[in-house]
Amino acid sequence: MGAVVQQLGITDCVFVGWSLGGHLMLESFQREEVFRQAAKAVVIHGTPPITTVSDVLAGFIWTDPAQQYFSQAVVTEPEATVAVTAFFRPRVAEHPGPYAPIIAEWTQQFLATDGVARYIVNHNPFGDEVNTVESLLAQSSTPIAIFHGREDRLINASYIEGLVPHIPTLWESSIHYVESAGHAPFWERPGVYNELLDSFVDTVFDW
Amino acid sequence: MKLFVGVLLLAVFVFNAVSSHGQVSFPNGYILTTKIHLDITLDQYEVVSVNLGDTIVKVYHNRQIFPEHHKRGSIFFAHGNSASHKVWEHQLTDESFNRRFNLYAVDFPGHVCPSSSANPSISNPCKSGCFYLLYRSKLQIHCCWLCGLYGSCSSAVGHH
Repeated sequence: MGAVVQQLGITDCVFVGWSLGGHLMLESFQREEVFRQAAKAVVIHGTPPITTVSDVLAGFIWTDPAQQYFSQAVVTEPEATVAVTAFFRPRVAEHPGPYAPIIAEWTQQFLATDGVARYIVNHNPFGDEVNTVESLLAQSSTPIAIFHGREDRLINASYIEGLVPHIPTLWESSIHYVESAGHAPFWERPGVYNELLDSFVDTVFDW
Repeated sequence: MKLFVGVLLLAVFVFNAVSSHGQVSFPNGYILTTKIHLDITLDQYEVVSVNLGDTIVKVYHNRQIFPEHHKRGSIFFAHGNSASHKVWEHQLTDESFNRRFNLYAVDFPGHVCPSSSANPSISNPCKSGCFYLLYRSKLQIHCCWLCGLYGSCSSAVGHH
């Protein structure tokens, strides 16, 4: 991310990361001075900050059958559909209704991802850093916001709640839940999500 | 008739007043949009290729949208596993955000490659982006193992 930020000349930026993208934001924040300089704030959602194997076990809901497909190199279209459906509220799996078109579109995105990349990302969750994500968040002076879909099937919200006291720059000292949304609240509740993001960005930029 | 139109306009005004982004989502999944805007689309985004050496990352930027506006800051969106910048459509096409910010959204390396999940391999340049994903220093063993599995290990060795 640092190289991307540098080449594009990005400054005064709020970085918003969803799930894997959130992990990448945290990772870049930890490792790259260029990224830290450009970051006015960081927003993560669907992202349990993790450092150890026990964090991984606690941060994700492994009982959901869709989890296996996010680290599987070769997936069939039905498997990709199961994975993508898990981005949304649990009821969507039984009653796709108006979600059907977006599930179909995102399934094609899923199938258009290099299976090797998917495998590697999820089998190499730890770098060689000595600082834990917890210590990073505890020492950071950069504002951080955590949004979370109330009905997220894939991420254990109580694990993230446990980190809240250790993040001094966390916006309003709490996780901001988006009701009636799963792992992808920016799509399921875009109006609510955008207003939430807008509120946070307003405080950051002090318009 | 005039009364009806008046009530309708009032309803739209109130609706936008309670939802500054002009969208209200309902529990059944429907999204109602009343915002009167310029129909911003993802097609209006400029695609910027960022060269990272042996892979290229595509970043989408709203440079051409409201270019006359003074945008004081930026918002950069990063998608999740096996997705793309398109998942941010509701944010990237939001008029309020577009008026005030430089908006960026990235397609990570290894993503948006046709038919990749059916036949994963790093021999395709588009797919070699896996080397640039999060933890590059630890990827080699896994890449080689996988490439052996899929019959293109020589490509992987050559890559390093």
